[in-house]
Amino acid sequence: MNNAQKLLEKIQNEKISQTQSWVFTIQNIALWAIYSILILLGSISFSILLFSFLNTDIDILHHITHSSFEFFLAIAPILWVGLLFLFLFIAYFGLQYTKKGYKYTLFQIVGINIGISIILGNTMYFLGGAEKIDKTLGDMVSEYESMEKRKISHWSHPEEGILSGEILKIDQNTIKIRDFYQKIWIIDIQNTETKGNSKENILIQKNNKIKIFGNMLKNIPDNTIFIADEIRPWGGYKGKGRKSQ
Amino acid sequence: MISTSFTDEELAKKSIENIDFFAELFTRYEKKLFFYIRRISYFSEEEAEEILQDSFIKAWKNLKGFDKDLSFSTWIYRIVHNTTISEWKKTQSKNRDSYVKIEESEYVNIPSNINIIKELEIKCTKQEVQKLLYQLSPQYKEVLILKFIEEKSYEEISDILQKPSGTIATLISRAKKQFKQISEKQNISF
Repeated sequence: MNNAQKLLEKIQNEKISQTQSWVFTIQNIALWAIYSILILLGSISFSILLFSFLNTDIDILHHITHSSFEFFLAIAPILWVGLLFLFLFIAYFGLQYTKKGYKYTLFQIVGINIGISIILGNTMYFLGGAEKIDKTLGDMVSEYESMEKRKISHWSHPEEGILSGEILKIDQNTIKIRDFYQKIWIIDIQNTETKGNSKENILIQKNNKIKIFGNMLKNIPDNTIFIADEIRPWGGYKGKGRKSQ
Repeated sequence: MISTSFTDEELAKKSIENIDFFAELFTRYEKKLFFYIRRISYFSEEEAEEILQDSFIKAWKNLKGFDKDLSFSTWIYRIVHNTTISEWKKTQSKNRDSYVKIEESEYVNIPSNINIIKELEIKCTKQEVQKLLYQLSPQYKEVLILKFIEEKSYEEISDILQKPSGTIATLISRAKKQFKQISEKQNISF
């Protein structure tokens, strides 16, 4: 008996069956689906990093961070940086196992993954997706530090001249605010520059949330008086400033 | 009687319905792939025959997933290559003696005008070529064997080893360098 006959005999005796075509089709679809999901997750990570970067008041970070590493962490949440790399790394293997994936070099695959993540991530950011995801995670997961929570943290250093809160009352030269830790402050606004005013949106209004640069008056009981040099809207408008009236 | 006028790809398609066509494919590739297994590994004749049979059984099982963008030759070489390497890794973990005597008859499958000798401008016999190849690191040995003994193109080697064409070109270039260095160290000449 020649080897060809031995082969046929083995196949027939052991009833070795052929894998059906649809199995290969499903495998292929599954691989591409996994790859697409990983790229989508990578894009979400990128969009949230972009949201974080563009909505962080970088100018105040020098006051509250004490090293380059702290500065970096304040802008780019390590969770999303880590997830971005993780998703892109796994996506590399996902693409490699597709039918033609092996034809691409590591550099090409990483480039493709990064490119798609940037394009989709940007789109997601500009459609407001990043903000929604970040806020939802912040509401649902108490351990998650959303952009909002980070902002509150950055803008709550009165001893460093950085304060924020909601306007409760407006007087001639002062406003009363409640900061995000529920403490009441009197803010002197006689010589304050305001930014982000427009016809549609007056900054100093009751219930508005604001950010304040200035100095906390020391040696005052309860440390509750703050001299404001600059007030910005909480939402972070980058408008031109003008002296308050 | 199976017509020998069918191409490999036609036979592969017909094999799905009639196993006799598959036997014809096996017959066409048996000798070539047997020597290929022996060249890239240190398996004995019996072991190589077993690996060849296992490879064709895998091919049979996956025939309906045969990528039509590839030639059957490339596809079966890929299966045989992967099966051989996989089995070799298993035997290596058992600390098996790596030396296998190559029979004289196997040298006939090394092309007499072996290009690697011409390319590197070294003088050596077919037996010496085989011995030098065994001294190369595995990734260099396999690309040189595919290129100069199995006479595959860069594209085919890329499809067999599932690596980018650029990587294959780099590996072949480095492999030739190492081959030449080893041959010079051993003063190989007629």
